[in-house]
Amino acid sequence: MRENLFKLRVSQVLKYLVPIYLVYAFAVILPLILSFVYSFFDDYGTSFSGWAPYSKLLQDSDFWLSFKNNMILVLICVAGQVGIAFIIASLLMSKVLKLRGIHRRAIFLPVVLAPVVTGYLWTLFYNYQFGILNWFVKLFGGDPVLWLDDPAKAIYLVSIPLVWQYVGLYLIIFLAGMQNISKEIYDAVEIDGANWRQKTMFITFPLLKNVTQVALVLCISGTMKTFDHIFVMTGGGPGRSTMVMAQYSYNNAFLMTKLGYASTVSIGMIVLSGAVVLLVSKLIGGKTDSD
Amino acid sequence: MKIVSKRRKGIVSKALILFLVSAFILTACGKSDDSNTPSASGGSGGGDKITISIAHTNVTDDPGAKLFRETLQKFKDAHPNVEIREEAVAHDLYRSKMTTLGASGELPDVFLANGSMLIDYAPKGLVAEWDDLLEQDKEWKDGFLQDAFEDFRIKGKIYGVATQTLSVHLIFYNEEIFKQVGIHAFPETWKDFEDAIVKLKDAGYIPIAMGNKANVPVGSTLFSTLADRVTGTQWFNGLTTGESKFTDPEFIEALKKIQELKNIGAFNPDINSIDEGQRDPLYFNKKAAMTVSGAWYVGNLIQNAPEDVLNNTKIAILPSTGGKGEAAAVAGGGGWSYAINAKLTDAKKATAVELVKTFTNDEYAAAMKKINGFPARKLTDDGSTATAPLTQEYYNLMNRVQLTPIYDIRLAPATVEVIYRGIQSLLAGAASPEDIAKQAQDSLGK
Repeated sequence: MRENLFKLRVSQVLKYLVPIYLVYAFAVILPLILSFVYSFFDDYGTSFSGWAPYSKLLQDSDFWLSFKNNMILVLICVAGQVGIAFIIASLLMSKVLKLRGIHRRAIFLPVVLAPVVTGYLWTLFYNYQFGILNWFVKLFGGDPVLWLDDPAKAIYLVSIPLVWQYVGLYLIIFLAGMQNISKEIYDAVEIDGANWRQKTMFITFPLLKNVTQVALVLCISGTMKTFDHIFVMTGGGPGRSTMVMAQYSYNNAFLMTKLGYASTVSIGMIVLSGAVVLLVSKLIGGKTDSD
Repeated sequence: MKIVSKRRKGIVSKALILFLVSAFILTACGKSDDSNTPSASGGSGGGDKITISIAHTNVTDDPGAKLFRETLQKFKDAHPNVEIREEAVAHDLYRSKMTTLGASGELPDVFLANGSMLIDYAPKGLVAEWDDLLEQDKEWKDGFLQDAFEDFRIKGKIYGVATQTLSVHLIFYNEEIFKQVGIHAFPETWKDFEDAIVKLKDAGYIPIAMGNKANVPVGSTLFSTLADRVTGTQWFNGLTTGESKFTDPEFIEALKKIQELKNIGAFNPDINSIDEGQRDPLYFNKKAAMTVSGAWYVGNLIQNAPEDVLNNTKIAILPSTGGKGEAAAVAGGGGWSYAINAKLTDAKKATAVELVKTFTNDEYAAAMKKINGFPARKLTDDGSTATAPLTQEYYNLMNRVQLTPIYDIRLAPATVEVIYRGIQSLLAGAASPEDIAKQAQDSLGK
């Protein structure tokens, strides 16, 4: 009887899941399979050409340049988003900081903005003629600086809005994690005379290992697929200096009408992002074991 | 009882699933289904409704777009048995949409296409040839300007009917600023042009203001013409036959000319980070002495420029570089055209052709000219209906120049992207002319 009941439940559950699965299949799985299939076709998606597109991808210096730019962004965003979020979160948990609610809201606010808005906002900041940054530079008697026009520093400048926008997200994750740490542990170390720095280093940080791991994976996978900000701010320019993989795939598909090769680029992007995320979570996981 | 109810539940759930699946399939394919089915009835005057889908970019408030929509409405009113389904998309998004539709082979019945899109569609058999249709209506055909079909001719066949014919290269300069720094006529030689730039720069002006964030403006409106001055049109035509290569010294020389201009400080320093809209204030506020754009900018200036700037604005073209190209020439042509889907037959095709003719006949051309447009048709009118002096100056200029290829119209999109992005790198000082030439040549082989 019980078995029967259980079976009934499973079919019931499946029935309710069907619409969701259908939507998911049409919106996510099918396009993914299609683009996987297309990735083996020639540039224009007309004839099957086996591994040829992938060997072309491996030799494509523009693709590897985009990957390099993605990695620069990942490094900056890990340090910026996760690092800064951790510091602010532990400040918010301490007794030093006043007006916590305002701080929390102000830092979380950019998260709800559309990336396109953020990108546009920051292009205005960086604007050479009337941007607020150059206004400050002029105020202190300097010559106006070319911000996004300089290929050498453009990639670093486009990373700042990325950090600025998503610090709040990781702040919330860390705050939630920190609030789960039992008060008694803090009380105990406070009796032992630990200061804020010691509490953070020896209590909060080790106990937040799992949360940090989640934050890192989210941050890295999010940055690997970043597109909107860069599309709005520079479009990958000047030249190719801020080209990222997603933008490169977009350009191939919609500017150069090479839909086949664009699929190859996006599959390459999935593989590389997956590899980086896997590597990082392995590295962090390993540390926990040796501890 | 229990078994029965269970079975019924099973049937209900299966029916539900079936319904959902069919709903998905119907919504996904429904649109293409009825647009692809050729109309059953033969006579266009018959009672059967003919559905024509048309994709265009006339969504803005500018007079040309309004004229298009009004004419379309008139066509609808005059043909009650024809149902027009509009797919109007803003210009910048249009290309992406059409690329996607083209890849899936589901293009609308009538749509706007530029030469580069036709290069993509024609070999796949997605667009119909116009040659026979043009022959059938001599009067319509003969009314077009001489080079009106050149951009839409692929392997000798015509795939598009020009919406307009215009120059994509014009130098708009502020005569007052020129006089103020002691230049009394627009330079006629390359050396004088460079001297003028240096003079303007020394006087604290931006010599040429442009917004090249999208990397198309400099490539299209400046480089296409500059390159032709250096290489000559013969060289460009040799690209398709393989007689000439991008790595030829002529083309590298053309890229070097752009680099030269950058090195003497001809452009605003933030050229690569602002778009064309952000360029306007520089010219409108007299911070810049020149700007380079196409014929469409004439209308923009008349509408938006401050009165004293507009009155002092004159039109010129690049001087000779001493290269192989003609000096009295500008990159120009049809740019965009009306194309029809190759799948159309019978009455549906006839209606589609009639619709296209509505937008390319003398009546429409005259209406275009009245609102400072650039029709692709010969008009007996000598241009006196155009009221603005700047427009008149443009028509006068067009009477004495010949048209040369526009790079982004004539070349394959991948090559255009490589060259234009390369020029942006060049302007940012991050690439050499030789590298760009090599990459451009490689992109042809791919």
